[in-house]
Amino acid sequence: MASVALVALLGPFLAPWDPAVQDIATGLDASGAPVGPGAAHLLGTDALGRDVLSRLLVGARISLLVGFAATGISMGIGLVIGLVSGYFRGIIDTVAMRSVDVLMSFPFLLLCIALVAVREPGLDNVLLVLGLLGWTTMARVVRGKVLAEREQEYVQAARALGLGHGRILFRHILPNVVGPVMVLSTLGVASTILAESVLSYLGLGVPPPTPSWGAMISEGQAWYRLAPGLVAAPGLCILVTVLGFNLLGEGLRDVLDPRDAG
Amino acid sequence: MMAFLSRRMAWAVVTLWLVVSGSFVLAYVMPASDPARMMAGPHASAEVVQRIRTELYLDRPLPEQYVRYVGRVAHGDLGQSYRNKEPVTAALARSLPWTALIAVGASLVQLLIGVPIGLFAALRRRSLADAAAMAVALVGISAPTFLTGLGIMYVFGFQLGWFPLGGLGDGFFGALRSAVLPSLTLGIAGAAYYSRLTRGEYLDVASRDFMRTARAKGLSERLVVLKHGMRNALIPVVTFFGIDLGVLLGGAVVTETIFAWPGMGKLAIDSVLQQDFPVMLGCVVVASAAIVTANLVVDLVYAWLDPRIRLG
Repeated sequence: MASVALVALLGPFLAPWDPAVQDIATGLDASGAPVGPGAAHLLGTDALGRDVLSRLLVGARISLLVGFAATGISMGIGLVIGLVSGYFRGIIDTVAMRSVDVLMSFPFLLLCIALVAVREPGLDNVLLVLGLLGWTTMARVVRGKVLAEREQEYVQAARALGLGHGRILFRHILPNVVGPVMVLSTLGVASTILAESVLSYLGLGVPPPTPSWGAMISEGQAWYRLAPGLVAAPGLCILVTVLGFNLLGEGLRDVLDPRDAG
Repeated sequence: MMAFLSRRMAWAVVTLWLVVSGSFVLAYVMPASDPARMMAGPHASAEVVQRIRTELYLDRPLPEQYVRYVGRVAHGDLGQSYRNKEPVTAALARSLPWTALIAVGASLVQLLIGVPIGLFAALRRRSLADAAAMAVALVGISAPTFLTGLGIMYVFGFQLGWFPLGGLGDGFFGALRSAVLPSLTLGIAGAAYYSRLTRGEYLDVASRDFMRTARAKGLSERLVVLKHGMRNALIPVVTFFGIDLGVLLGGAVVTETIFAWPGMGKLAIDSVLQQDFPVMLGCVVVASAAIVTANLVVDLVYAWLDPRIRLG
């Protein structure tokens, strides 16, 4: 994961070519088809003669940016709603959980696609849509943990000492629910990167010529018989990154909750 | 049971109303572009655009538009396509059966591949086979649908030539044959998930007292595993199977795009790319209604199986 993060940070500096530049001289063969791996282009070129390696390196930044930022937004919303809902219960809890039910009644991906489409595709909209729609699982899990924690003696003691709700929630209960929050956040980054790649693949992500892994697969799809690498290379990047975050999330879960280790 | 039934059904109706209200906001409040202009086309005169705006009641106040919209949806009218003026319900009626076909295929893949692999891994817990099966499952979950789909298409369609690369085949058997690769693509991530779920549930059930009792009674291991173990382990799996419909419908958008499959997912993404919002919203409303119904059925089946739920 560290190497993927490093590539995302340093991608533009490591890239041997400008990812948007079409190398007409050596990037396409005599028939106008993309060239395979070679000295000038280590992973070959795409249909427009652009360097695949450079586009992969720069594309990592988009995937990780969306993955972290959108997950940060959704986990923040889910955490606050879950904490408040589980702690205060009553009407707040009912409204919050029914909202979760309604949001979960929409097919997530289809709703993301519809929202991005009505607001114009682009990085900021992708980020906002994935961030604002992905909080439901976090809210449910945190609420469940808070419901159990609020009955613990330390919470009753804090109440007896006259501490305010905010202080009890954020200073005392929050540290005790941080385990599942960390696990869900890590797994959330993985699923957000997947969702971003789908939106980019469908032409609803970052506009061209900015490279993104999903869009690279979509562009390379027409050439997959002659140059399967155009699909395989960005596909493997997505797979390895998502797999890494899933493994990290599962590892965290095993450490923080050994009963689930299996 | 009747009280639970009425409560649950009332909530399903409220959820559907909220879903329709949400889709109204999506169609009439949020769009960055003018729906009347989109329907009229880029070269239409201002008079034509105004006439369409009046015809669609887009010049009325939002609350009035909302009441009309909800009323129309309640009567099964989802509007008409901006692009070809076709009723949305007709477009959905044409595409839904094809999505249903690959959804059934995908469900079979999920249950027939995922569940046996999960059981196999659970019965060999902490062995190399268990680790390998779960590693493959994690890769299956982590792979984007379009990568899986293109890989399957490359191997089985292009290299081996066993199945068509895309589109809908002629006749009943042609359609079935062309549904194999989309079904496999749509079901493979689910199969990976179900294998992990089944393994976890079986391991949980395997340590219960009734399993020890079944063995102590002298039942064969096969009977203990299949009749007592799997029967109990499958309850949460089947529950998730109902809830999972949303994921399946989301996956259908990508799968149908890859395989040019004429289902609701392809209809949805085509309508998105053509800014045909009524069709897009029709897809969202119908998919949501399917999810609400599936959740209702799962809850009712669960309540029927477990008295603590309906009486609680």
